[in-house]
Amino acid sequence: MNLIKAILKKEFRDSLRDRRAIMVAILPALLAPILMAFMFHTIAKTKVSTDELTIQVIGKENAPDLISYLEQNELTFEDYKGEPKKDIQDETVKLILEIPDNYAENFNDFKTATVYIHADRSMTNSRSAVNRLDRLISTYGSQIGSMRLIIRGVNPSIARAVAVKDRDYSTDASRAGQILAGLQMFILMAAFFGSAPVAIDTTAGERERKSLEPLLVHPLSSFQIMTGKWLTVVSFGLLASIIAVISTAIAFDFISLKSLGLDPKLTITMQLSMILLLIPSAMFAASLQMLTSLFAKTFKEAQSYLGLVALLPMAPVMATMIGGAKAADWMYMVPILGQQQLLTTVLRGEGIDWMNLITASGVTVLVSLAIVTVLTRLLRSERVVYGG
Amino acid sequence: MIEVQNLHKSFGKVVAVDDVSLTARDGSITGLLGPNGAGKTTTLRTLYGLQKPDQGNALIDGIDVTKDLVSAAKNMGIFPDSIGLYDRLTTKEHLEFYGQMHGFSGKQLDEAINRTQQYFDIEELLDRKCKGFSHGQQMKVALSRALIHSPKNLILDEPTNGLDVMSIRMLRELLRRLRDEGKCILFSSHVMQEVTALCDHIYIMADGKVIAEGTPDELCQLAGKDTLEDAFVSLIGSEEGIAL
Repeated sequence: MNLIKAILKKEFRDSLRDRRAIMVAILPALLAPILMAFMFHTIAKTKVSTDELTIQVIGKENAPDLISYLEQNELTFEDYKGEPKKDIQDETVKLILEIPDNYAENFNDFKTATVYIHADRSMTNSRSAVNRLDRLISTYGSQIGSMRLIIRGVNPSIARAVAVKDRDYSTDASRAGQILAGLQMFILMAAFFGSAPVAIDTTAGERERKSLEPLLVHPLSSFQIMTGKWLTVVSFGLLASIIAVISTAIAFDFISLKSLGLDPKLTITMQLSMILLLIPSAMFAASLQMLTSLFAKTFKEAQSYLGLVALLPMAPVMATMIGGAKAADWMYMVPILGQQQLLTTVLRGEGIDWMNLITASGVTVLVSLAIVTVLTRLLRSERVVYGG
Repeated sequence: MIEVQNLHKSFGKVVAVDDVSLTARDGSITGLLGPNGAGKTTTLRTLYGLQKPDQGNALIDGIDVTKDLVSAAKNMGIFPDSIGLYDRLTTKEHLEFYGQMHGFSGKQLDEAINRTQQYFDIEELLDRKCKGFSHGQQMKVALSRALIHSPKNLILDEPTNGLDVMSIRMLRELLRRLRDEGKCILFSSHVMQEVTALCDHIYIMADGKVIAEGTPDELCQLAGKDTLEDAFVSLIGSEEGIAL
């Protein structure tokens, strides 16, 4: 026990003095949630702006009737003077409605009265506004047309042979689901990023520094050495996970995503449940990373392998996002996937199903310990100590 | 006492050690002399358990290292082929850590560190981090590491490589003192002077085999030469790989 403690102390001391590696380990956990929050905030804001759209208008006085119709549909107008083409290309103005001087004359003579919409339709953020204005004006036009036909005793349906009605099933909930999936991915990845530098340093690094051989000639078992090293790596992964959870909680305290139908305020209980369910995933990350690094021939090789290992938490998340995989009981039996499922329920505010937590944690811890057993066996092999 | 019995070790098709037997007695300094690539390091690595012999045994005070490495390691002080210090730890932290590895703690640990740092006079290095140490300074820390627990048996792989003259003298005096205290010392070298100056008993290795053994006098007689230097050259059959 004292030997394990001594190893742990040495590994911690050594790792903590490597400031740059610590930065690499912790920074993603700290910053990713803040970036995510900022991104969602921006998405939420663009959606809000379409509800109360302000449009620059030229020749507002030429069509008071049309303008008042549009104003009833929650558009507001500002008089515009300038060069539409230039301002739109410079992106100083998104959308300009131009009502020419001959509008009233044509309208009153029952000729087609033309209005112009100036916009850059390749710009994603103005597209929805342009479509909305377009649709409203068309509706206005066909309403007027229908009234003119009715006055002449003609059924307006004659002029409208086919009608299209849009039924959009994209909901706030589905959008929120994708945001949650992204969040889970970052929180799960935090452990991988957090433990990677230490995992490499205590295995491939120790060999590359040639300090593994001197360490192994001391009277302690491979199990004691591995346990000490493993606990160190797990601690760093767990630390990064905790930071990610707290950082997420703080970030989402500052922004509102109500317009996306999502309110991910993390209560203390939710944060604690998340940390609890992340402990096994930190263990798994440590085991897997140490195993990979132990097989790598050099420090650099280990680094590139671990880059791939860190992508692991993305797999289940991608499956949920793209394949729309439904939650199933077997998922709790797969390390990381189980934690991801649990995180989903916690983030949705549904609380934790203790049975599922025990299953997922149990399986993940067992797999992690099995890997530690393999690591212990490998530690004193010639291949590991002197390279293969 | 350190014993190697009929040791065989191959790496693929390369035979590194071919039927080597040797004994290093308590209260005596035993030298393993041979050119680079003769199999010295492989033999020593087998003794501290990091290379498994294909055949044969390695015993420390009668304990088979392949069967009970932890017990055997308790009575061994090792200066391995690689120095391997931790750049970010100080000399004192190194000694503390390795002392703990031998089960020392508290006052016992402080005493061990205090005793060990006197061997090579490294007091001024104690609170410095090892990054940027000269090769000689690193060697001193690594040698101190091997001695922290006052081991009964000492195995040193090329311990004078890169040491300055003063430090070599210190090491020699220390080894003689330890021998007089009854310790068993086995060291390898490709530097003839080291072996000549220190050893009570010498094994000469070449191509993975022990080709001659005995006291310096016996080796001279065996080769029919007057000086050890000539004896070595004649026994190994070439001057290649041996530093005079």
